[in-house]
Amino acid sequence: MSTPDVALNSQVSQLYRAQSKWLHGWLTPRVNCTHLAADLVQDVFVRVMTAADAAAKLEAVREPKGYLATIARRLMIDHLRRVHLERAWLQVLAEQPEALDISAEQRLSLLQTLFELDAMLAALGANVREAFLLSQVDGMPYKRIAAQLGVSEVTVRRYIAKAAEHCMIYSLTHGQ
Amino acid sequence: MALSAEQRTALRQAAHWYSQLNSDEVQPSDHSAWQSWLNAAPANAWAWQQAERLQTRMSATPAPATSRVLSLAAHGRHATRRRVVKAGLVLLGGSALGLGSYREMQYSPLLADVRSGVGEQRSLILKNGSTLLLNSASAVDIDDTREQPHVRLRQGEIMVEVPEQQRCSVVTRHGSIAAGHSRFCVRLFDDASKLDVFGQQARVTLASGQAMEVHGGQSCQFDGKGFSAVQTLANAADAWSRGLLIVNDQRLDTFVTEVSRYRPGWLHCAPSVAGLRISGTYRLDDTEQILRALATSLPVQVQRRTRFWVTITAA
Repeated sequence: MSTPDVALNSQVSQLYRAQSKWLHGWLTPRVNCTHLAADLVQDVFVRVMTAADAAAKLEAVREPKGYLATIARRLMIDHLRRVHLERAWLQVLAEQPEALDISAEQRLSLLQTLFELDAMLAALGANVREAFLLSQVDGMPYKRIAAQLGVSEVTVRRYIAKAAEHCMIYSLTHGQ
Repeated sequence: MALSAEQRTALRQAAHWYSQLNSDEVQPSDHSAWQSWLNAAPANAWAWQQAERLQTRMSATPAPATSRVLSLAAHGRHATRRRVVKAGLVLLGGSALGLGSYREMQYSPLLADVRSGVGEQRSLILKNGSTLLLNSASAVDIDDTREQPHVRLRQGEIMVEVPEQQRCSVVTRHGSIAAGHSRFCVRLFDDASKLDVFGQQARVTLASGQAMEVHGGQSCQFDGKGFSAVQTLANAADAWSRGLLIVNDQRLDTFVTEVSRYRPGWLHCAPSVAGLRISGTYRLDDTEQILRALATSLPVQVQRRTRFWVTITAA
């Protein structure tokens, strides 16, 4: 490990000692579960350590609670997004068990893929996302997508372009 | 990575071609036009690489059920908080924040206009960790660019929770409320605003300069000119934030007016039954169920002219 990492470690551990209890208290009522809150506290500090320019970011932080809370909120949202995805997965599994008859490892990796895809598409409007998935994942022709969504084919083209632009920018800016 | 304007333009054009070439009606002329675009600038070639990466990623996405799972998940996220409570999933629920936390991404910090539809509740988290829950048919503008968020309540009712060591202010056309760590609810009526404080305290200041401190367990109304007497909060006055309507020996007309806030259309009760009394706990996400319960527990009948026009009369 190089010197900056040592410095970073001590900075983070100082922050952990000073704020982890507060953060746990902040999270607990928000997630309604002390164990989940404890897990999230750990995740928050992992994020602090692994952030790009972690040391510089820590230097710049004037209000450590605000900084930690911001990361914690993102993680809560991620967590909730994951829960939704798993619920949706279970529902689909109940509807068509044969389609998803896969091993536990395959399931984990599929859920992770879905999670990343879901995060990428999250900012899109419902119709845009739907059109993009039907076209790109299900391979449905634009004409049928247009009929299904009750819009014109021209609109479907625009939806696909909009989604593609968003996804390319998202991938480039999120390092995927 | 930060993208240059040139790159963004090229990506937009690449996205257009991505859409064109994915169509089942691609013409040969499209291909030649695409080819000339591709050759026109290095940025275009770079952008098209990104488009190909996306195409590869999408076509490698496994499982026939993927799009179904994703659209169900998205649907779940955008469902109202109460519908999720109904499904038994109260994860970030209770007093803190609901699914509306996703909407965090949907307001821009400066004077965002956030509204909830009839029968819908939405929650938001502000930058300093304060949470807002908009009750049915409510609207707020939020200025979250400063250290202390400013919320303008334009319509309806909001529950605000301010975390420790933070502040938040809520303004209505009748006055402004400033609070540190606290939990309070503000409701806007035509001629006055009402503040209910559930934890700690909040301070109301009127345009005239008059000010008053309202403490936990207290409720107070104010218009531009003055304050009403401070009252003790009714039991379960904040039940709506949990998706419930809890009443004890309430007049039927008052009850029906309250229920009508949560459903579209016209709901009212005939004067002959207005004075009947009602008690109970009702779920706000199912006003039809409330109407059915009325007909079985009171000597009334529910007359439906249309789905949106309902009158409660003597049985």
